[in-house]
Amino acid sequence: MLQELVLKKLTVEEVNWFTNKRQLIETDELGNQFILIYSLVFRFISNDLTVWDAEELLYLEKQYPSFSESKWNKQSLCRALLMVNLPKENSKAILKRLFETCSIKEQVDFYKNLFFLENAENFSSLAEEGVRTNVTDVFDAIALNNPYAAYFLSEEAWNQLVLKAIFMGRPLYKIYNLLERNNQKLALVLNDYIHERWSAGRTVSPEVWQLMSGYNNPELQETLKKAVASTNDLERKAAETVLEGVNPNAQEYKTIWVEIGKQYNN
Amino acid sequence: MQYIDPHIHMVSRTTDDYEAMRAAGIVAVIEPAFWMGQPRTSVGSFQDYFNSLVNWERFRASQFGIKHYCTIGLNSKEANNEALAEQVMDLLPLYASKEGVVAIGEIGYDDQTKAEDKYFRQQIELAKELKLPIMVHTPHRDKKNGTIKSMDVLEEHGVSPSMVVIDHNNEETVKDVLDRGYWAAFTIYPNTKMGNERMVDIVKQYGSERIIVDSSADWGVSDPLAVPKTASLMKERGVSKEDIHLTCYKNALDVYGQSGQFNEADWLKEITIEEKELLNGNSVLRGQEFVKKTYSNIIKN
Repeated sequence: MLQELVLKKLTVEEVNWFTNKRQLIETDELGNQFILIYSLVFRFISNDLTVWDAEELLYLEKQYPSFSESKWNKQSLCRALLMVNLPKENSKAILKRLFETCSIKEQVDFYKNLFFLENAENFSSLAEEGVRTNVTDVFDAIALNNPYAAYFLSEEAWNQLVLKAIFMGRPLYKIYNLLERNNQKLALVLNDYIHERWSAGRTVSPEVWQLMSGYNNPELQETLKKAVASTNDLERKAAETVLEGVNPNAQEYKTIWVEIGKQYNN
Repeated sequence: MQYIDPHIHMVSRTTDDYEAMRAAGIVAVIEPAFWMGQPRTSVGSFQDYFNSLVNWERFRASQFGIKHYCTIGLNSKEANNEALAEQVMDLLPLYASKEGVVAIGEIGYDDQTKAEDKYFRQQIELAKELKLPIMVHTPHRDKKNGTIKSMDVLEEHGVSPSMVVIDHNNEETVKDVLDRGYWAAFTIYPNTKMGNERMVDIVKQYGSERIIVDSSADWGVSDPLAVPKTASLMKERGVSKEDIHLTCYKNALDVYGQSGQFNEADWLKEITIEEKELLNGNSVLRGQEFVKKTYSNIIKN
């Protein structure tokens, strides 16, 4: 079905190139053809953004929650098809080799597409590796508008991802299931982070405060109370929102933070 | 004025260099795969190096508003380690086919050994197969013969001179290279290759057709501002604006543009990046600001 949807968006020449190459991949168990063709997509498939109708989007959202939140070009989606068509028994070894030689855009597509794989859960160590990158586009591909981390990363790795997003100044509201995956351990690390920022005379992104929601821990409460007395407007309002917040998992509460995130980042 | 430095090894340079280059008007660079000053001992080191050319260094450059392209190849010095060279040759087609790879290079001769000859020829064939231009490194020692031999071999393989840049020319080689129809690049490199006063004289004598200025700045004493400094010196000494534009921008764009991977539109749309955007969310620059620096225009040699 994904294949059908994507092929519909290609020109006749693109479909021909793509289907020819896919046959080459099928007969090459070592994956050398796959790796080369994954790379060559940029020469033969345009990078135009895809436009979907409502029905298509409904299906894609089901396959890939938050699909419609990010932009997808035809190259990325053709690379997705190449990845999902790999035979499962070899896919881990081949995708690992692919990953080792990727350019920036190829890595971006790799991470965006991981969630499409039937055996997606087998690739969490590669996703953890990706979180360590300093290349913003690659980090964003894993962290933003991508359900992979929320579904498959351990709590430890998830916490690293959120911390790294904060340190890199990425928009937290785009992290899929940010509040659902939140945990007290992360809140306490952030508590230290906030005090570090304050000691250095720096402000804290208002988006960070939502991750202090819903814990009765005295240290966190104390920090929140201090923040309410802050002279920084954004910080004060964010801390007030946390203290007033009822249920961190309520939809309306999440919506408030998305709005704060949008205001802060745009 | 905008400049391209079509031969510079940014992996060896600092962020100060990137800042100064952008401030001086450099909008795009080409980083050829080369020898890192110390021989590599395993193919993994080559793979990581090629990865940095298509990945990390591109990102680093982008943070300073400079578009980064590269060429892929096995350099002549390391071609002499044949066991390793064989493994590197297996890697090349994959990297050479990637987006933003504008040529096969820098390849050619160093000591002019048999092994160098073998891998030079194999890489010429790879460039033909992928329809990519070729960047030829000419040797430091026995330069004139090495340059002529490189062109002879290219002709033997039926490569059109319009697809080849012969690099590191000097007064002794330039005439042959231009007469045979090749693009002639000059490396403004303090103390060894060329000083930029000599470069101005060459442009005055030979004009600007198929002549290219680059820095080849690397891990040695070299100057990442060689292109803009040479352009300023040309202006001071009465070279026309058009000739400066051709030798310090347009000729490089034309020859490497034949790869289909080197398009002015790539950087023209990005040059308008505001400083705020540049600083937002990056992890190399941390709240620093660009500092305007001034330098002497003359590079002695």
